[in-house]
Formats: sequence, C-alpha cells, structure tokens
Amino acid sequence: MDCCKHTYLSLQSLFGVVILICALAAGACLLSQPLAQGRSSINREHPVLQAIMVDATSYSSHRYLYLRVFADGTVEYHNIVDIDLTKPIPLVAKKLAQEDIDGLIALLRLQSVQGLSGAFEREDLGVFHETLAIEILRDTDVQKVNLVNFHSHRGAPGQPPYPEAAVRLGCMVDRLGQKAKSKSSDWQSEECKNLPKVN
Amino acid sequence: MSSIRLMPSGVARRVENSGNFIVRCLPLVVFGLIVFLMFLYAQAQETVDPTAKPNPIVEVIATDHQLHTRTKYVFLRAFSDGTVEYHDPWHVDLFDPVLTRKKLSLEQLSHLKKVLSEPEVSELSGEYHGGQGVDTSLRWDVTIATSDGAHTFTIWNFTYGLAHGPLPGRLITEAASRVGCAFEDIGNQVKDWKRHSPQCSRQIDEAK
Repeated sequence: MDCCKHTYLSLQSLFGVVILICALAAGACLLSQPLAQGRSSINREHPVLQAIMVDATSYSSHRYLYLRVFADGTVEYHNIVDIDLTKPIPLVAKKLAQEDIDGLIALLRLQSVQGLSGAFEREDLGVFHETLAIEILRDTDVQKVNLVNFHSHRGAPGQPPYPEAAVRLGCMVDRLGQKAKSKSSDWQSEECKNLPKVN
Repeated sequence: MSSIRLMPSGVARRVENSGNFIVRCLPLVVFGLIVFLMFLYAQAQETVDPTAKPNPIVEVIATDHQLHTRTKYVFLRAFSDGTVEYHDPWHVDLFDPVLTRKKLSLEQLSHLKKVLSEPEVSELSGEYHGGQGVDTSLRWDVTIATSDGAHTFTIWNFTYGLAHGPLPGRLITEAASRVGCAFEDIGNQVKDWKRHSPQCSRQIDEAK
C-alpha cells in the first residue's frame, strides 16, 4: 500500500513537472513573440524625414530607402552597393552630428519648404528616370514631396523649374545621405553650392 | 481524532471514493489532454502549413559583380514537384524582395532531372570559368541534391562570351556547360526570355 502510495505520489509529481514545463514553454513562447518583433522593428520615435528612391530604366527598376532621419540624429538607409536578396535586407544605421540635424530642422521650418507639395520634374538622366519620394513628418500630418530626376540638374521641357525650396530640400537630403554613407569627399553639385544663404 | 460525518456512511464512502478517483486520475486526464492537444496541433501544422515545401532538386545562387556593386540572388531553385523560384535581379524592391514562383511542365522537370543525374554531372566539383568580363563577373554557386546530401560546384561567367578571352583557371567543361544550359533554359522559360548565352546557342545549333 505504501509502495503504491509512493508510486502515486511520484507519478503525481512527474505530471506536475510536465505540466509546469508545458506552462513555462507556452509562457516563454508567448513572451518571446513581442520581444522578437520589438527587435526587428524600429524602437525609436517617429522619423523627422524619410526619402525613398525609385529608379528605373527600360529594363530595370529599384526601390530602396535612400535616407530616414530621426530627431536623435540616427539615420537609416539601404546599402545598395552590396545587396544579398537571399537574406533579410538590413537597414544600415548611423548617427549624424547634432549640427547636421539642427540644419535639417531649420530647413524644414522654412515657410518656403513647408509650402512644398506634389511633384517637381526635371529631364531624365539619359535612359535613367528617378523619383525621390520625400515624406516630412510634421505634428499633425505628413508633407509629401516628389523630386523627379533631381540629379539630372536639367529642366524638363514644358515643366516649371524646381523652386529654390525644392532644390534646398534635395541638396539637404543628398548632403545628409553622403555624410551617413561615410563618403569622404564633401562633394556638392554646383547647384547646391550656389544656393544663397538663408537668414 | 474523529471526523465529523454529516452523511450516511455508505454515501460518504462512495463520495470519498469518487473524490479519490478524481484526485488520482486528474493528472492523467490533464496529461492526456495535453498530449491530445499537441497531437492536434501537429496534425494541423502538417495539413495547413503553407510553407511546407517538396524536396529541393537544385539551387543556383548568383552573385553579380558590377564595377561598384554586388548583388546576390536566387537565380533558380527547383523542387521535386516542378516548382521553381527565383529573384528578378532587374526589378528589386529592397522593402519587399520577393521570390517569384512558377511551375515547370512535366517535360521540363524530367529534362532537368535527366541532366542532373548524368554521371559526368555528379563528378563536377570546384570552379569552372567562362569568358572575361569588362569590370564585371557573374558567379553561379550550384548545389545539386543527392541521395546522400548535396554536391556543389561553381561556374564563373557562364553567360559571357569569349570576346575578351577566357578567365584564368579551369574552363567550363562539356558537362558543366550542359548543366548551365539547362539552368539557362529553365530561366528563359519561366521568365519568358529568349536570350541564349554563346555556348548554349552553340549547343542548340549543334543539336539542329
């Protein structure tokens, strides 16, 4: 009888352990999901600005994150120099100097920049057509500006020229992108260099 | 110590017995329930898992080196049920780099299997080199599934002609060329292309 009671007790404790393990496993599984999601998503505040590049020729097209800027100076972008489609595509994250962020914020506060909307077009770059879709995240809404063929620097026939504010915005996105992508040269197009100073 | 009995002794004994039975069997019932639920879960996984795939037959991973860029992608992945998947390296969305999936006909599948099972093909190993490129190269890393695992080899610049001379190293052999043309052929069929590399054009001409 004692022996049976003993067996019964040990069986009961075994079942208890099994149930405990199952419960722990289920709990761990449930807990791990939000953690994993948290790791993959951007655990920061909303970006200040993001620019998505779509370039196309007659036989190809590419869409990628040109630049995303956060208020804390963090920038993200897709590395298009070394692409591995067989793995999840990572975003490269870098930190810009505070003065760069201050420069961007000051530009975004300009009335002329706040007034930009829609698409601004220039001539194609030969067979190459590009659209830089810029989103500026303001307090209550998202300002959307599309710079089409910005880098051709040539006005499209029949299209009004880029307003100065659009040029300023394109030059700023390029400059921050260049700094983030660690390009050693501080190269700027003549158009960007020749922009008049803002008071 | 005497216990207080509010029920007649027979009824109390039966209730006590049934209580004992529940206490004794409860862990068993819970355990059985867990096992049953796990069984149901496993069954459900087996029947509705959309990611369940048939066995892979062959995989070709391409690495395209251009002057300033490098792009690695699935040139071709074929499965035993005739499904093939590939990346379109000309239309890339880095936010959503999807694989395109198509189905081979039985004829195409059996031709591929026939080429892959040739004895000379099973002996391919190491690297084979095609023609030189101008600041560019295209590497194919080939993995063919075998009964005892997989066997791998690499072909450089398979699609390039010899206008700029051959790359240094072992040249593409007849067997490597047949395999390469089989990949190119399937690639053309699923992508609806009609491009043939110089050596596959040569093979097609010889076959005529």
